[in-house]
Amino acid sequence: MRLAVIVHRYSDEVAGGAEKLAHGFAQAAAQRGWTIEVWTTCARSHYSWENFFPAGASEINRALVRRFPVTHWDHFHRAQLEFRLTLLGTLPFDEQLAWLETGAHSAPLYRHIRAHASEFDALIVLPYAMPLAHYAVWCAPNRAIVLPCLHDEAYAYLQVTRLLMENARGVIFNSPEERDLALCKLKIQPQRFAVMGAGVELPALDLPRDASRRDLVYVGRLEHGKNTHLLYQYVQRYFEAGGDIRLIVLGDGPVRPPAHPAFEYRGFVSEADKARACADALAICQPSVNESFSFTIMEAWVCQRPVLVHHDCAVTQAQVRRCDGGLWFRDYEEFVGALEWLARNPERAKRMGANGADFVRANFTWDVVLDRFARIFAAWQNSNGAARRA
Amino acid sequence: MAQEISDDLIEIHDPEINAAEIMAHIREQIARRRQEQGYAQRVFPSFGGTAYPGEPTDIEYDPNLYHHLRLANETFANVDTAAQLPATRATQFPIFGALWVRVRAYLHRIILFYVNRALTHQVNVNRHLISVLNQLTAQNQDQRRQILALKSQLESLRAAKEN
Repeated sequence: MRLAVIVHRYSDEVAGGAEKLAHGFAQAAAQRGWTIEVWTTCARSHYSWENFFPAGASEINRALVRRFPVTHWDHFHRAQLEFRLTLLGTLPFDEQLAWLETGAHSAPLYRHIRAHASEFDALIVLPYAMPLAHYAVWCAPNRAIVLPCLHDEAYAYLQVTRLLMENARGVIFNSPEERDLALCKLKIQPQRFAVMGAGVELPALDLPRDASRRDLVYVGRLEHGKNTHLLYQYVQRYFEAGGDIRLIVLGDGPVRPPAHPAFEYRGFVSEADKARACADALAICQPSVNESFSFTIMEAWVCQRPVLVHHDCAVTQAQVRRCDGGLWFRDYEEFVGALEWLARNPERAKRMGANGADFVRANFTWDVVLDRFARIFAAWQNSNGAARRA
Repeated sequence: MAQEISDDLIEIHDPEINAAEIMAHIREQIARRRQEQGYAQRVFPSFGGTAYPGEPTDIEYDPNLYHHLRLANETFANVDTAAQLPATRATQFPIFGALWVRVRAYLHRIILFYVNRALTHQVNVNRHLISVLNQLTAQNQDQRRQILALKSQLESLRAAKEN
């Protein structure tokens, strides 16, 4: 199989679900022997879009990575449109097009797509919230398979999002709940669709868990959109009320924890350190209500630990219910209730983590996910053939 | 027509762990504790805000209150954030005029960038405040109705006693 993965940032040093999905998919597919190219920008930060990596081609773990410079980004105009989108909940269609236009773009990347798309069986494009993904799909819609990583947020309701997903060759969702959001709530009608998910891996640990620790761990981008501020509020309140808890924060972003003894901020750490922190934790908390998959909870389960998720996130709550791998909360009292239940029932908490690990092994190793992708792709190829014969 | 590839996820069901039951148990405990502390009737907010309740048709009301409340609801998010860049004499100059248009637009955008951040915060605060006002007004309506009903009961009791 010959595939090109198109994503706005590509590196094992960047945090973000879509980026991680693109990276993991490309690496695993290349290891499997598929011909994989990654077409991306030179940017490392999606806040500054500075061309950090050198442009050109290089091979990373058998995947050929072609980087193109970011040539356009109208920061001020975009901020203005984002503000209006926040304020109004939507934008008129001409402003939606301007919202696309003002995003980070790479003209050389689009030229490359137009020139070389036909040499590949499919282009895997993600995520939908990046204008670059929209332009990439419109360069070769008949080859593009979109992995939207859709959330229930203002961008999802834009007409340009509908056009993107209905004109691509197919759409692959990360979870049944993401599919339901697109099809049932947003009423999007893709030409083809399927649910695939992502593969999850973390380094194996050689030391057993330190059972005396009562740390709660957060892993991911530190942004308002991820609800990290809510988690900080809850942890600080519980700590100040005499609760025995400390939140270890791994990741980076603008919403860092306050300087307070309830928090330990470790920043961006290696995969091994992340695995260690998760394995030693009482639980891993994912407070975000904007998830289409959540690597964070899957990685917690790989480390055999339970998770605490937000009641209002359909995706994470459903994943937890599918394997009884943790608990959920919708306010401070439930957060404390769940936390104290986990602390009082260490053996059952451990078992929740083990259930999660079984769930990940059954559904979300890269081997399982790539097999699923191969089945989806073959079925779509066959349906194309049938349509042509008809 | 859309085609879906059906590929269900394998679920893990542990006979000894049922997360939904555990959560139900935790919620029962919270409810019991609330009852002990005297706030059993606490209702969780919907987070959707409270809508303008509308002028009541069955009781007297202060028209000024509803006039201002209605306008506050309609206008609190109507903020004009577009840059105002009308042509001036300076923009008509050859070469310099075009340059000035670009510099001026850029400066306006920088200012709007920071102003809009503060404005977003203020609009969100306004949304909460107006939601509170709407809710208080709705509660006030209910209480006025209750007072009228009680007054009417009192009058009929007084009348019965006098008779």
